[in-house]
Amino acid sequence: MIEIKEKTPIRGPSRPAVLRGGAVAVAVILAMGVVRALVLFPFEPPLSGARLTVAAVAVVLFFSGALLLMLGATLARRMIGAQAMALASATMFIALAGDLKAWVAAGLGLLVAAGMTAWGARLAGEIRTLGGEEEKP
Amino acid sequence: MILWLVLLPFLALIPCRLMPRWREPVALGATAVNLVLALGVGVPVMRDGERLWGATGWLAWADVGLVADGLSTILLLTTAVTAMAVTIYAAYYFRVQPGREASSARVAGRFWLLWLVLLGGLNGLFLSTNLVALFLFLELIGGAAVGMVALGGSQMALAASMRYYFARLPGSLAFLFGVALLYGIYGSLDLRALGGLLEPSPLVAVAAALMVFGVVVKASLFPFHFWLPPAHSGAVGPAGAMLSGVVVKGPFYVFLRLWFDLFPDVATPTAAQCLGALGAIGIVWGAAQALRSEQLKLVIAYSTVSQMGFLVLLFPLLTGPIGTAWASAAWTGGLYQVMSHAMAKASLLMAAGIVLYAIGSDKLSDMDGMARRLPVTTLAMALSCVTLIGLPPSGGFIAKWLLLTATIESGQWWWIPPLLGGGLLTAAYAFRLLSYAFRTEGRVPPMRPVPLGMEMMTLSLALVAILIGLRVQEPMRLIEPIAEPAGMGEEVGHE
Repeated sequence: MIEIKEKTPIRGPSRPAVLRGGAVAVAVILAMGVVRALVLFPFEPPLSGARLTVAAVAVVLFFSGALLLMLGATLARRMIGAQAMALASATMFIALAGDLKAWVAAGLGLLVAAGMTAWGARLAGEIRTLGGEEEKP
Repeated sequence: MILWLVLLPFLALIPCRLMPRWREPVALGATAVNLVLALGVGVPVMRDGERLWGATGWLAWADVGLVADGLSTILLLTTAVTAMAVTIYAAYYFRVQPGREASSARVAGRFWLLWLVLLGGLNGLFLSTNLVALFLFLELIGGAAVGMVALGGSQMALAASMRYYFARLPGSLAFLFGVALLYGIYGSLDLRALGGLLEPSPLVAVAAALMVFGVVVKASLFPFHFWLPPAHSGAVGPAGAMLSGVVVKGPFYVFLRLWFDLFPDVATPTAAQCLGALGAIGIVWGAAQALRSEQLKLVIAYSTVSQMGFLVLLFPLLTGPIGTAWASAAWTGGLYQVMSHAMAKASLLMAAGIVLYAIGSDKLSDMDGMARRLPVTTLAMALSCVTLIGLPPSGGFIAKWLLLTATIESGQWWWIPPLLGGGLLTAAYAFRLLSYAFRTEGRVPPMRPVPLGMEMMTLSLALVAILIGLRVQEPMRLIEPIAEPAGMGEEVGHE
């Protein structure tokens, strides 16, 4: 249960949290680029077995992440679930399409997910450690 | 001008960030210019049809385009008018916090930043045709809305914002995954281009289900409404007004676009009937909860769940071939419901904010004698209730009359009980709410004087919601060209 001890204003995600999230998103995109270059390019058009395998992995990752996000017992697990879902979307973009637009869309998706999880962590942190007061005018 | 509607609120963030003391006038100015721009886009659309802005140069490859057609213009104008009234109201709201000047200024400073993000996000959402852009604008709106709920600072508000955050997160990511699947199959992110390409297949059905799930959760349609009542009732006055009035319409707008522009062949009549059933349950459930609630803001928040159910009835009622009178009536009625509900609901929540400020409580039992002491606010509440119930001559009456006409003419008589019953239940909770305001039996709590500007803005929105029922020509000119939404023509709903 959320425990609130004293009042504090709510602020947006902290800069380190956003930077950390952004760095992770960029690192993931780069890692996917390497994987794609090593594994997927040799099997290019139309839809190779390798690409379909990657797409299938993305589907499994997406639904596992969704389960974790919705049923996770702790905030950390829920956040991991959210990131897994975002990663699955990015993988799907790149595995099935792989052009510049797909890379940009995947990158934006991951960055948004990083921002969202930073925002959620910040909000939860504020709620847990600080708190509020009864709403009065 | 279309591009400026999206850029202006975000550009206004720069001076707000650099000059914290000037946040309020900058936000007020940006909202006023936004209204002028929305009218500048709306009038030509009304006269000559849709307006386009296409990206050129290096942006062109990304399919980034903005389109203002009748549907998006109605949403843009509704947002601009509501936002203008709420902005002026908010300026007063954050000034009148005796003894809490420091915390109020801090909250106000953050509110104006989130406000501009919200406004830019809504404009972008209503104008974009790119699916990734729609995702990004939905996220901007969602992030700003979660922040606005948290601004309340109370234990309830913080918990509600967290609940809101966790409810919308799977929705967002499901939407993105659906977009990834579609792009993977068809290689396009443009909503209009994809509409002509899609062919029913299991993979497209999965993408449709994921994207529809995403927007249904965000629009808080029954049974995914659980996050809405605490979030909207816990938000500070002006934020709650915008969230309950306009923000829930954003994902609903995307839902309409998906259903009629993108997936007309995937969206089967059975699916439409199932949606309608959920909408009907939502109408009754929301109204029943509103009847049971003892707090003004909670009554209004549950009322939103109920009124959104009326909108969902659009889907089964639009399952007709092109040109049928009932489909046009349903479409027009649905869009009238969008406009009138947005303004009436924002006005009601602004009135609730005034009550909370004036008497320090929003318990219904504490509203004794409010009609005598806050006559303008009570009048605004009564007029808003007239719109929500659907009494003539309000915009709500036009909406519900047209929906009822469509129900009868299409032979879908099973939607008559929720439509009429929903109206009666709305009348029941609205009259209950007003009866407390007119009662003078109990203890009359001391009251703080309320700035007239706050009351006048609340009244003006309630009046506009009535007036759109009296001046039907102008909205009709926007609605008529789209009375047969894309996809309907190809016999949506016919197997």
